Parts: sequence; C-alpha cells; structure tokens
Amino acid sequence: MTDNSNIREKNPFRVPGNYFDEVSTEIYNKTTGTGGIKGKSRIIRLVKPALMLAAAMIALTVISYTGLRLLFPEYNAPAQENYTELLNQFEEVELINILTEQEPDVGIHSAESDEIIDYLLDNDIEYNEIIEFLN
Amino acid sequence: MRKDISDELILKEFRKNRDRGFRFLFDKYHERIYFHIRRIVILHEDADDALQNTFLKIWKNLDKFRNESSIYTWLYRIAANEAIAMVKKRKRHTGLPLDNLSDYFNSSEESDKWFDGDEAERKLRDAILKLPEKQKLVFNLKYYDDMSYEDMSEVLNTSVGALKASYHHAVKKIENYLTNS
Repeated sequence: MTDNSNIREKNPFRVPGNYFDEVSTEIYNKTTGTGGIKGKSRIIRLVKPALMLAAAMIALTVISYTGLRLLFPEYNAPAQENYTELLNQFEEVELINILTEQEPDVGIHSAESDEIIDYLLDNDIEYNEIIEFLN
Repeated sequence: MRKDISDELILKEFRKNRDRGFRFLFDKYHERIYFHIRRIVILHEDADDALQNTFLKIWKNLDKFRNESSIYTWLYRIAANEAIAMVKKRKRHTGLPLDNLSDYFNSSEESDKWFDGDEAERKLRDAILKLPEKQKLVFNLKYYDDMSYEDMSEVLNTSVGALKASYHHAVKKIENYLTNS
C-alpha cells in the first residue's frame, strides 16, 4: 500500500486549490456535524429495532383485521347484532307458539291444591280451625 | 496529521468515539480514495460527488463493518462502486455508449482542466481510458495504488488468477496503444 505522497508523484491529476480542506469540512458537516447522523441519540439507535418491530406487529394486526372485515363482511360480533332484524326474521305466530309451548310454573295452583280445597269444603273445615290446630 | 495511524486503532477509536474514529479514517484515506475515484471518472466534479457519497456510506455503515476484510479494501470497494455508478450516470447524461466515453473525456475541455501531466502521461491516460472497465480498475489499482493481488481480490471480488490475467492484458493493450499512437 502506497502513501499519499507516492500516489501524488505518479498522479497527473490536479485538484482545485484547498479542495481537500473544503471537502473535509463539507463531509464532517454532513456526518459528524450537526446535520449528520449524530443528531440521532444513542438511545434512539438502540431502541429503533424494537420500535420498528412493534410498529410492524401493529401494522400486521390492523391489516389482518381490515382484511377479515373486507373478506367476510357478514361476520359481526354477537354484541353488534341487530336483534330487531333478527326477530323480524321469525313469523309472529311462530313466536307465540314457541312462547306458549312452555308450561307456566303453576306451583301451588296445581290439580293437587284443588283437591285439598275440595276436601276442606266437603268436610266443612274452617280456615281458622286449621290455624288453631297448627298452633 | 493522523495518516500513519493503524486501521485497528481507527476501528477501536470509532467504537469509543464515533466522530473521532471517522475523522481519523477520513484523514488517512480521503486523498488516495479521491484519486482512486478520479482515475475512473476522470472529471473532478464527478470525483468530488463520488468521494462524498463514498464517505457518507462509510459513515453510515462503519458500525456494521466486521473484520472479515481489511478496512482498506472495504473502502476501495465502496469507492470503486461509487465511481462506476458515476461513470454510468455520466454515460446517461451524455447519451453516449460506455466505449465512447473515452473519446468524450479525451475531447472534453473539462477533463483537461485539472490535468497537468506531460505528453507521455496524457497518452497513458488516453490508453487507460480505452481499456474495458474491469481492466481499467485492475491496472489503476496495481500501477497507481500498488495494491497486492490479494487485496485487489477483496476489492473486486475476483480471483487472483483472473486479476493477474486482466493486468497482463491491460499492460499489453496500453503498450500497443503507446507504440502505435
């Protein structure tokens, strides 16, 4: 490897006066100077890959979600369903039938309670007498 | 001046203090890189652009430099690529095919503006300009930069044998040109 003086000896090319000083200043200004990469702090340079990865993940999620919504427009979350529209799909008569098919919870008003009342009437037993008996 | 500082020390300094390390590197190499580029692009204006692009790339990528090759051959490789890109740009700008660029440079006043060689040197410059791009690079690196074939192999990503053959052909063509002109 030759040094600069050897190169100059063989070299017929010239440069404008002070060129190398001027180009040094220019390149230092673009690099190590204020306008260069130095402006970015070391922390930013260190966290930049992680930030880029996070941004890429967010972008991927947004794109996937938007893509799904566009590809399957009929897909909606249950919470967003329009219940009125859903109900309109059924015939009114059908709905009534479905609702009346369920036996009401009659509890004490069943056939069994009617028998008890009949028994009490047949034997002429007063309500007060029962209360007294129970007490 | 910091031109005698070793490349290892420059890299060590760069890791400690990026600005200082870069300045050491620039001070050591910018002149020889300039002339390496200049011999390819001929015009000072183009050499200036290519030199600045080269060192901006070096500044941006020096962090990633691994000692797989020497820093010296790495710099020359970047500079050669920038110089060739500049020649292609000049070719597009003039609308001339690459072969005719030598005639363009020979007839250009601008190329003579910063050239102070004697008649023999002017003939040598013209003979080099006539060479194919790869042979031109090989001849310049060997003749002007005294670069070893091993280092040249790293710069041009070509085998040592192929480089020796290229240099041999280049010398023959130059001799023929100088004898016949």
